[in-house]
Amino acid sequence: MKKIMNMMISLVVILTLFVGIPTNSISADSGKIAQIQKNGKMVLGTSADYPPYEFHTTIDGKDVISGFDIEIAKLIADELGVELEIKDMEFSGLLAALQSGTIDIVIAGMQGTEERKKSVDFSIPYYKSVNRVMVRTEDAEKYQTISDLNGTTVGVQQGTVQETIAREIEGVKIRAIANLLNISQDLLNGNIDAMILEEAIGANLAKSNPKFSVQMGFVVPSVAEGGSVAVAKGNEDFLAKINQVLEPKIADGSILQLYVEAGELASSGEEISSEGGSFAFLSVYWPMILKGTGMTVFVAFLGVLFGSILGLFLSLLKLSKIKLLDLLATAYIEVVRGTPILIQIYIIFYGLPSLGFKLLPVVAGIIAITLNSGAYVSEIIRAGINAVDEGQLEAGQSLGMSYGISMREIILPQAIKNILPALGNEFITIIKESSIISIIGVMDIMYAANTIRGNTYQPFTPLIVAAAIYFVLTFSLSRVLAIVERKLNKDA
Amino acid sequence: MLNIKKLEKSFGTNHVLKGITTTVAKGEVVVVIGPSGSGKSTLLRCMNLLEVPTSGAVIFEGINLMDKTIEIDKIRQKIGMVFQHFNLFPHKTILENVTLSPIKVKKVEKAVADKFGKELLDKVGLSDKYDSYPSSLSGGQKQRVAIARALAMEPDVMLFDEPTSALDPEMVKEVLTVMQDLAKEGMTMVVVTHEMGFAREVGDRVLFMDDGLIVEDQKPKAFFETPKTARAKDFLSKVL
Repeated sequence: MKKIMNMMISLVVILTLFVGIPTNSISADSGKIAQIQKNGKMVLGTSADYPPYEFHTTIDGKDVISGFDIEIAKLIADELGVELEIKDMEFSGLLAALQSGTIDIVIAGMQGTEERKKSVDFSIPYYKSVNRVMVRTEDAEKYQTISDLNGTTVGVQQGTVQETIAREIEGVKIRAIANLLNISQDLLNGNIDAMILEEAIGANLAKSNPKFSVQMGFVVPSVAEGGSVAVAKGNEDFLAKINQVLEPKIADGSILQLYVEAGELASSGEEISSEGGSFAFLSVYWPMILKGTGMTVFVAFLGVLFGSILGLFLSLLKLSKIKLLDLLATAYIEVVRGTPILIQIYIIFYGLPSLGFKLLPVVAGIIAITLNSGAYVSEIIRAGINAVDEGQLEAGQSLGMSYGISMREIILPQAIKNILPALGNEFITIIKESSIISIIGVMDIMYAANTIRGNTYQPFTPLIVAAAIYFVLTFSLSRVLAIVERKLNKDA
Repeated sequence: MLNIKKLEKSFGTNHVLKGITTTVAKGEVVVVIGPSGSGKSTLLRCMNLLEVPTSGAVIFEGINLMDKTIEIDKIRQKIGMVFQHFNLFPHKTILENVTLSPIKVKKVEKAVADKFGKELLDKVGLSDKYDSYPSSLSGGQKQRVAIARALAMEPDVMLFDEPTSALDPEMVKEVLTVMQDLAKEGMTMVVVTHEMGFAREVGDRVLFMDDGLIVEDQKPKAFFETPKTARAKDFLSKVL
């Protein structure tokens, strides 16, 4: 028991180290600017699947996030005299991250709608965007005005201003999903009839694929003034500073110049896809895929390792004679098994920071997988322990061994043999399920695949590559497990 | 040494022990016999609290085992037990089976525990099996290891729960011989068994149990030759 307690304590210590020191994001007296300057960096939240505003690109063999918004963020960071740190996440999660203090600022082509103004503050608009309707080229004739959309299904990116716009249009059925590339694939496949998106984005898509056509004949009504910088409520000094940076640049047109340059950079990256087939991206993006693979294995391994320790602890609670402990463990296991891991990850990544814990996405991912896996592993361990003959414990007790010694010396070593194969299967499951952490910006295989899709406008083939890597990982692991299992049985 | 007072045990609605009172003196060999389901094994398992009695008292060397404040693990060190199905630790060698508890519980040095363990294994005739695993042993050999394992804790009393019932007939004798030697050395023993020959030759007293009660408590000779109750007569007529 003592050893297990020690392990638990070291686990807590390790996690605390990962989590770091509670932040003072709530403290109002020091001011946001002072806080950022004290940290020496401004943390930008953005959703880098949106060229030319923000997108992944490869510069000197390295993956970097570039774009119009990034340039604006650099202007602000320079003004404050601090470094810029970029956090890439789902667009729909940006405001929650801002409110929880995980990030300092959001610049993501985001428009200051009335709805959003309720939860965060916006700067003056730095760029006025134009929204357009994009359709399949073969249908281009059919859509001449906005009213032609009546009775159609329109795709938009979830949580964007375009979604709000689409909801205002009469007779339109809306399909809103997180990834822009998935929506464009929907349009190709005929699942939707049209997309509403920003002109620059549409132009990029249409340029890469002649099957897309942007309807330039009419402008889609807008519900906001244009892209703005968002900060958490109660940071007037910070907001004033941002406006102070933006105003002269808007006035002298240098912002527009940044937009044009970003557009050129965004379209220069696409050449990869136009040459040498749909898998040509591999030649440029293989380092990113490789890194993503490493991240997936790293997260899954630590998740299962910590999950096993947690699971062992939970299973001992469940086997405990003290009813309350059993009840607590059972409640935990049932709640974790009874709720989607997607929600668990959101709660950990966006919820914990509001309690004062700033988490790196990868740490949040590992914690989520640990907590989730622990519940399943505890059941595996419990079953493994229960499968050991009752007489073994009795023999130990009759020799004067305490419950703890009997467990450690007699029961667990035998239970391991029942547990290991099932634990291996859990590892395989976790490798696959860990793909979900890409939504909070952990750069795993899935994240790499989505990034490549965004950059190359190849909506499909990067997924095939990702699937192949997942398969190679899980299949080799199951082979290794089969060998280990055979060896264990031989030793018996 | 061991006093049992008004001991009762129920499993749910099943009333297995209905008030047992008896004593075991130091150096005595008490054999418990009776039809299956009479509560013999339950009584034995109550003696080291592997089974917690519903009511009554088990007093061992002056300590009531049912007192919740005592450290039962400490007391069990003094009460050795041998099981019907041996319950050897399959992941440990024979010698490790014998030395595990002395090392982990009594904190005996490994070298000392090994030496004593080997002596015990020599005594039960298994000097060539130190490093074998239980799975490679015959039933009779396994039970002799189990006896050596219990003896390694240097107990004051040994409990045997049908030690030969799971054995092939040709292996019964080797186990009984070890037990007989132990009795000769003066070990206090309580033996639940169906071996009437052993009861008659080695036992100092025979307890005949039926339906949760001790029906007869006699010297072996008297019990086997002149049983007092009809139930004992009936039982003996079936097994002899």
